[in-house]
Amino acid sequence: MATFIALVLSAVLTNNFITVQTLGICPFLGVSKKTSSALGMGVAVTVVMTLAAAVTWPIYEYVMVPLNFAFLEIIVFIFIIASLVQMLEMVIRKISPSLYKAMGVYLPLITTNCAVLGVCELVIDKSAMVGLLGGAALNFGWAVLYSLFAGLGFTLIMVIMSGMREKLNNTKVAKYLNGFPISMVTAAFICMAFMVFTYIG
Amino acid sequence: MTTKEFFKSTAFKCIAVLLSIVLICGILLTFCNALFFVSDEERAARAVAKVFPGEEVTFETDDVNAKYSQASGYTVNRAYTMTGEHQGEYLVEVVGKGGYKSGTVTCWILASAVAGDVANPGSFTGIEKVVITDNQKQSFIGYITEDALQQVIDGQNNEGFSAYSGSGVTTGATFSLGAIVSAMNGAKTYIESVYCGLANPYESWTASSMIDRTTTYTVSGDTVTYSIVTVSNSPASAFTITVVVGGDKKISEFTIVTDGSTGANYSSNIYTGFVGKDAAFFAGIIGENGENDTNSNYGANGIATGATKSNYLCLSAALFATANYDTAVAEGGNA
Amino acid sequence: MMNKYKKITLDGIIFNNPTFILVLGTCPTLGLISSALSALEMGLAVIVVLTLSNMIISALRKLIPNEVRIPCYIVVIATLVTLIRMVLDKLLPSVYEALGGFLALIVVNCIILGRAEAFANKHTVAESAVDGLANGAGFTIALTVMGVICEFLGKGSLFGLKIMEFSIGLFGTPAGSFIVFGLSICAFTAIIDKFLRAKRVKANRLARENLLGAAQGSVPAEKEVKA
Repeated sequence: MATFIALVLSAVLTNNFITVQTLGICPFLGVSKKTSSALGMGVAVTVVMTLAAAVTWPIYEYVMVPLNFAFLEIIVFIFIIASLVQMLEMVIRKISPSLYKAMGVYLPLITTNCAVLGVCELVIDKSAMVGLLGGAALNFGWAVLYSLFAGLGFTLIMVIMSGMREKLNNTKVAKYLNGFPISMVTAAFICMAFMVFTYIG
Repeated sequence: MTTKEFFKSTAFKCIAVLLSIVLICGILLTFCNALFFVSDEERAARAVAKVFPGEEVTFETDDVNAKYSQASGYTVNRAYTMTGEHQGEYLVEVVGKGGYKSGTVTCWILASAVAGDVANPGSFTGIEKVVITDNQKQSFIGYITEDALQQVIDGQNNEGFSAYSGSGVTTGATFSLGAIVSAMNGAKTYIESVYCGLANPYESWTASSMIDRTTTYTVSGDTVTYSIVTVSNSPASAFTITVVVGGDKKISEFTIVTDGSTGANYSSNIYTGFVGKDAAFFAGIIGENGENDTNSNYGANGIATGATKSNYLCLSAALFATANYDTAVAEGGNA
Repeated sequence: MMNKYKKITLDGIIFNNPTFILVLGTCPTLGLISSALSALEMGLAVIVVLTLSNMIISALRKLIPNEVRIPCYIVVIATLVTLIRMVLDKLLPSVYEALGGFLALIVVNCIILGRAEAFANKHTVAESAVDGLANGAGFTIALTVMGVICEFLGKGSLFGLKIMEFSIGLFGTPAGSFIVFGLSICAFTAIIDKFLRAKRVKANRLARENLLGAAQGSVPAEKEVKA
């Protein structure tokens, strides 16, 4: 239970993918103009992150490490992520056209989202996981759970950011600040607000 | 589609090109991996080299003993036994906890110690060097000076290291120094337990509170022979007792080798009454874990001697021997 | 001929700077500019990967079928990233440690796949190599400049050398990186814009002068004719 609380706090607040690890910034800046699209992107990323970790972790741990080709991890991981995204797209299109309409457009963008590859690389890194959650958390379940909550933390920041940008749309911004610069300054304020959580022991 | 058409089709071309690129890349990487492979020894050497700048050192990499590496104040990550010029020194990487904002400080600690085992314990001599490599949330870590660390090292006493001893160590980073001191004490405890043989091997055993760590035992067949050394129980001093427990988990021999009793009315023969008794009998008098040290119904059990403190020590030894029979057989002896 | 390479170089470093104008590869940028040295090291690693991937993809551009080009590019890039990781781990372990997880993430850096898709698969090997070098240099310069600003403000040091006691901790955190990145984009676009406008004004003036000169030159001539 204590490990679970540590996991949730770490993944969502103290080690948030966007505000602390600065991963997944492209969709964070690109798809956060409207709350609905930010939420769609966040959910899509969360699903892919969880699935990707659930597939890559056992493959790395039980196939690549015993057979001594762990050095191919980048190629294998990126291929798994790309095929996962492709399959997910087909499955969603078949099962629920409305969901596909809501989520489908974001899916192709996710392959090159570094948050997905980042979480796969993080959960196989034993020393990093011990540092985050303690020695008891080195198994498949915790790895997948960490990915899920990291994705939820990502979604949270996406939604907060989109809310602030919707307000910003109604404001006049100096010419050269418009666009990326003002978004980044806005993001800086979110990061500062989230720095409070590093005080959680 | 005929075979010939298939070989001319775009689909075949796509598959062939993609597969051959993957294959070439895979072969290239396998070759390069062999070329650039960094062995575990090399990694360890790199880590250790950071502690000895400009010095060629030799060492052996030890497995971290999980039994002693984790405690509330520290975690031992890596341990090495130095050889060659640094013979007699041990290098451990320890994460000290309890820093500023509950953060941690990671440091390498080089300490000298006399190696030993349970029978001939060694001793911890002192810390030679502390190298801070990493920290979490310690924004004032820059205030920790070499001088301050040296003061803490020199201030070692029986209790270990302390930042608050009369030495007057002031740094401006009290919490960070606290974490470092935790790490130093952790290194001391770890080295004492693992290399000096000063750990109490019976800490996790049943009813071991009165049992000294110098106790030994042998297992032959289904018979366990203990040479139990008790701690002292003032005014009685330590006993050494040979206890033999048979396959029926009952005591078959109980001989007092060193008598720790002070009283003239104490008789060692009374304890022959222990022979043929099992753990339940002793637990009935002093409790499952030996916690009941004021029980007065020795008389009812025919073992009254008038020396209650000595009685308690002997009962503890008997309970320890019988209650831990299975553990002792499983561990296989240490003498 | 030389003019073509000059244009590719200027586009890569200034007018289409991948960091300031196209805002690509933001994750490693934000993650590493708190230290000038790691920012520079990241930039150099990207130059190597980008130049090599551009050259290989350009060399293979006639061989790779259009339908599977993206997977092929990704395999080539991933191979290069794995290679550079191995080389750094073996020969420069300190750089390998400083870049940490961001080294593996070069593979999903949009700049590299972007240049493969937008440039390398349509141009010759030499042009692609120059394009890779130029874009990599643009990325490196941008990261190093911001790294210097962040490290100076956040730690009071430059490339690890302490130069002042005063520091603002915020600039060592992602929040500070976001602010510096945002304001750098703002400043860079403003300068480029001013420069382009000045160039346009100058071009307009030249054109007008030419026109006027031609008119003045022609008028007397006409007069002469008339006269």
